[in-house]
Amino acid sequence: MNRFAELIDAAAVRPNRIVHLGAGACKEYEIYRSLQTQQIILLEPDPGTAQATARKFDKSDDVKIIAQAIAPATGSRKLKISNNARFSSLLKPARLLDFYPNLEIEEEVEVQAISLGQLCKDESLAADGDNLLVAELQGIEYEVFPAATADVLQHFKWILIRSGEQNLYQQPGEGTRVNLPGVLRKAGFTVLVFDEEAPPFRDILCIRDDSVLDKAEIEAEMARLERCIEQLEAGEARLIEEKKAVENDVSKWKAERDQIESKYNKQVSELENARQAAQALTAEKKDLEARIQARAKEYAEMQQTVRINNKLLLKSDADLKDLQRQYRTALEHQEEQYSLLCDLKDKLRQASEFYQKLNLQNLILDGDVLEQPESADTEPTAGGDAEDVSAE
Amino acid sequence: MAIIIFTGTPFSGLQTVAKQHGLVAANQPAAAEELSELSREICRDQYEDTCELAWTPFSPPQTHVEKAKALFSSMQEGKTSCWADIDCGLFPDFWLQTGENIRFVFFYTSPEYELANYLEDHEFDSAQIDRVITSWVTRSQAMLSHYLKHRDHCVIVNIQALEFEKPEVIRTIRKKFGFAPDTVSTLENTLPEKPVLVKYLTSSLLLGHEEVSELYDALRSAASFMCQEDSNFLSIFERNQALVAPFLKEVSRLGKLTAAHAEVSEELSLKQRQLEQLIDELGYYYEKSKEQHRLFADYLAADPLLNIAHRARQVQ
Repeated sequence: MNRFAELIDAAAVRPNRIVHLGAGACKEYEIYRSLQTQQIILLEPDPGTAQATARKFDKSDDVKIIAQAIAPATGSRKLKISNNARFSSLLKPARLLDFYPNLEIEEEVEVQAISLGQLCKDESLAADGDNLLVAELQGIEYEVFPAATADVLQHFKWILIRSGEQNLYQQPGEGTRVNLPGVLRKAGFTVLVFDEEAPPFRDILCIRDDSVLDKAEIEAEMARLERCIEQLEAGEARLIEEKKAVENDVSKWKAERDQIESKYNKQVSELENARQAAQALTAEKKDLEARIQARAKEYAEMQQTVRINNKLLLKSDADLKDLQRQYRTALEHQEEQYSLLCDLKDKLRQASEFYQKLNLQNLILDGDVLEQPESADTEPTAGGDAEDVSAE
Repeated sequence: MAIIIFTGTPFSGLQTVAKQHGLVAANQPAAAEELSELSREICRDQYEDTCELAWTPFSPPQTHVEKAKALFSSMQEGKTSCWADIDCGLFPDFWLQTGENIRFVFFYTSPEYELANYLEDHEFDSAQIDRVITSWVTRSQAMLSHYLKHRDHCVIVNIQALEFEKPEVIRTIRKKFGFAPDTVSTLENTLPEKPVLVKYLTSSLLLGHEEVSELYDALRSAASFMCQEDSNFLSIFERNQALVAPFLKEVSRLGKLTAAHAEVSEELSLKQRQLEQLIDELGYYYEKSKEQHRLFADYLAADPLLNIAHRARQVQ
């Protein structure tokens, strides 16, 4: 399979018009359409294929189909129609049969052939237009391109040729070797040859070299260039002077730059020291702040303690006063009890004395009773009153 | 030792044909199995989870060459060993490095045949059909390219030719390589002819695919052995047009069949109705007969003479 799509993409082809020689059914149509070209001209010599292609594109306004062969000269030629229509050619297959042994020429038909120059004229292609020529000529390219003049080929900015070795088809001029890329280079094209994935065909991409001008233009261009060179030389001398001056300036600036740099380095080191000192101070500040905070905390704790102590003192004082009051009360009670005890003692002593006195009286009375028992039961004695008093 | 590698497109039916025609290594099934496994592994390494239909030709790393060599050397000495694998056609250059006597038989199919085989086992899905066509193009192009570069080492054969003209195919292989598969069964026609409807459908699906048509023509032009229908180089449009008449004929045949079927169905339903009527009638008469039996039994029970006779019999 050809590599047209890849090459068109790689060469950034943007043609005004496309001419495809030996287009067949033009399976490349979608690629061409994507290039937004004005017109696609398809040349197909096989009448049957041309008819089918015309049917296929009958609704495409941008496609023109020409049922003609391309040849070195305009006239009628015999087309060898192969069983595989892709290999139909104005020439008979030769070494091509090594690759495709089943190819057979089914019939030969008379077709109208047109030269490339005539085609350009008929289709009014611009002489140096941005046109694309695609050629699948099955061996006839070795006749068509050498026969076309450079002026004719220059109608196309890009030429893509699918071509095999010259001996794939029986060439009329046997032994005349044609260097197709050389022919196109001579016509002012940059030529690149790409092998297809498999033999026997290769794709030749030719890009018109627009910088190629005629001799007078070249001489004028040369003179202009020489003047330019002189100007450039003068300019160069001036530039050398300027360069020296600039170099002096540069060396001066370098010295200044060195000074500034050393100053800068010094400042940087100072700044570094200051930064370190600041860092140390900051650390110290932080330390002090921490200590102050610790002290404040301690102070707060002490204040708290003092407050508690004061409260305790007040409480102790109150307690002391209370105790003193209680002590005084207790003392008073004690004294009172003591006086009571003293009174009690006196009374007990009096009672004891009275008792002893009573005992004595009893003893005396016992002796009287034995003598007068009835009086003792009926009449209370003075001593009986005394006993009640002591009991009280 | 000579090795023949058969390969083809994913829906060419290669494995079936190769097995049924005795082309695969019947005497070294394990080695062939391992080779297929290696081929699969290489593809998996390359494409991981990508759908097989999207695989394109590639160059595997050289690390697999030694393993392949070892597997080939394990095949029986002095014999022509054969191995059939679909995926090895994606990297034929790799297999060429693995031995001196490696030969390829590329089995190609028409795109219609490929699609028909696909549609036999799959639901209709236009996106998947596009993938099948792309896969056919990719793999056929790879086979053709390899053939054009190494014509001494390869033959291109239409897989259908093996069905109908097997001895000639084998002869062609032998003529080209100097050797051919050792054992070939005499089994014929393992691939049935595709119905006209399928042929028409597949050719319609391929309309507008010029690159497919061109590639198929190139394959046929390069083929070492074509089948009968390949010899007529028609474009897809022409092939499709050629199928219109048989397609219409088939449609009309199917139409007639449908009409006949409708007629038979109608007749059947008529018969069905008649049968149902008959069943109803039979039921009616059966009921009537039962009633008559009952009446007769009653009459007999009520007859005084019969009663006397009955009693007399009892007395006796």
